[in-house]
Amino acid sequence: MVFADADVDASNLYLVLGPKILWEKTFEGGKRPLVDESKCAGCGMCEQNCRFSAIKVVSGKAQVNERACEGCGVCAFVCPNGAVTMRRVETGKLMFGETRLGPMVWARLLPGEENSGKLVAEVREIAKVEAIQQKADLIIVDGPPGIGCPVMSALAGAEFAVIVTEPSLQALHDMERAITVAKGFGVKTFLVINKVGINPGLEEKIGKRAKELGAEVLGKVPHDISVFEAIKAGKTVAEAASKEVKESIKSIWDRLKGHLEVSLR
Amino acid sequence: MEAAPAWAGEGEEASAEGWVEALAAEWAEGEAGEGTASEDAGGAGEEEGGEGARISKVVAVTGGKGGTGKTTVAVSLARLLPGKVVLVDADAECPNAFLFLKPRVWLEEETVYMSYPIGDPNRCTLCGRCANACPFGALALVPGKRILFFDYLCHGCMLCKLVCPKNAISEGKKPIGVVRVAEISENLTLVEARSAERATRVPAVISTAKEKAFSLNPDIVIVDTAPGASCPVVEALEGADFAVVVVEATPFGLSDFEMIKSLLDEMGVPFGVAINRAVGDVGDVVAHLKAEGVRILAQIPYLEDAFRNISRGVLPLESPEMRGALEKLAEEVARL
Repeated sequence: MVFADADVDASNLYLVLGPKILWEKTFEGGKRPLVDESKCAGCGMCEQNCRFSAIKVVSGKAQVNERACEGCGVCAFVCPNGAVTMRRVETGKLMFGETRLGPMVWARLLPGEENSGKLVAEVREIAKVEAIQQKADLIIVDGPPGIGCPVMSALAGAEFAVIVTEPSLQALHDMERAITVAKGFGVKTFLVINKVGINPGLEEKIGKRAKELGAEVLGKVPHDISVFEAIKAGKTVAEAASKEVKESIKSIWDRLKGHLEVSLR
Repeated sequence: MEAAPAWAGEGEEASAEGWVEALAAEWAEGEAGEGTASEDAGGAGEEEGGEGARISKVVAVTGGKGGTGKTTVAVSLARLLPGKVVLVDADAECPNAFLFLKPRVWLEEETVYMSYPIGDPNRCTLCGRCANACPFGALALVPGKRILFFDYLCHGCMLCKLVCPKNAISEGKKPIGVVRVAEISENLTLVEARSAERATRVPAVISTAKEKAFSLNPDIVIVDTAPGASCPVVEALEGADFAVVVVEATPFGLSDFEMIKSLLDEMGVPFGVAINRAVGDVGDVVAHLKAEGVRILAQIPYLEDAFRNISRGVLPLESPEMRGALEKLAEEVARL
């Protein structure tokens, strides 16, 4: 088994798996424009063509708003004087390590950097290479929240997706979106209901709705303070939570394994 | 070029909230209580006859992942703060504020669009220059056959159109989300950013929502951001006078806080921390934060009943402990 943390702008998996770092490298995920003021005539072609309002002529010279910039290079392309060049910039760091459960790859996006999914794709690629080398059966990807670019990058090409939800209105609303997006990528989608016990009436409705959306419920994890304690102790719930929680995780895994085995045949 | 994919229209969006909204309505107990709360807070400190531009104070509520309590805190603040308040739900991928505020009717709905390339197969010579140029890998050449377009990677920069030697690419516009406005009470308006499923350019939906909020000229704009520290969060934080960072009292919460602190420092946004979901003794979390010189605005306890209420779309203002902590936070924010 190989682990990948694709939640690159707030990666947490390392806190539970405690990897020993084997290597670390910078990721140059994007480009930023560099304006040569001696060549800039302040014509405004860059400003006119930029779709992200990231380059503007101020006091006769083009100025870049790095945070708004998506690194597409249109400004450099349209500049009639060659005053804008694109340079590669570091957008994050990639780490690879060994944990008590197997090798792990994770990343840290530099604050405010664009998270279009390139760093996520790189994390997945490294995990894939490692899995092939280790002849591993499975890559487990800890995905990002939401449904935007990093999530789509984590989902595209995955065989299975396990959506985690909880019996709250907020989580249900988000679950609808998440399942729809996952299915839109042709990924076989499953559901795990976490923190069961807060709203008994709601749990049934969740299962029913998930089925309508095409996601099979793998199981439920009870709402239990031991989960919080396991996290605090830097342990997985399968290692350190209450018997009830451990059994629920085992049951979820057994069910998922059944599906994985069918697909590997 | 492949035909542009059929886009998930706004009609399909309705299903995501429809049944969940109905559930929220079912559980709208204590709504009378909440209504009173907003009336209490509203109107205080109002100045009449302000024809001149009123500069709104902008407070962002941000924080780590996984249900740390950003939206609960943001909506509570919106309910408790005096004056005319606009709450911007800038968690466009998963906007949840409406579940607490239960707008009866959306007054306005503005669709947000992005550009995308439409290929003309009659002009395209399959040279592949567009595919080579695309900075997001959204175009691929199948040699001799066709150009593939991956909608979920395209950011609408239109560099492909610029590099095409045959003028074979034209610019299409597709919806990537909606901005909706609802008047919750005389002094509280909700502006929701809701990105379309499978959409990129989420920041564009958020910036439109913020523009809308500012145009309403309130005393305070509260911006409920998405979790994390990447582009949608940056967009939501831009121009904030202050940020309330909701930190869950766990190792995950502290780890996420470090990332957000770096971002806020880089953006030059002053901030304070609201420690949330505090189970048991959080002395070590407080000590850790204080050692970093972080200003702690409030400590909100974790209470099972409050958690249940929140999960049913009811703000935890009924519980005296929760209300006390949230009111203290509101006081700190009002004082800024």
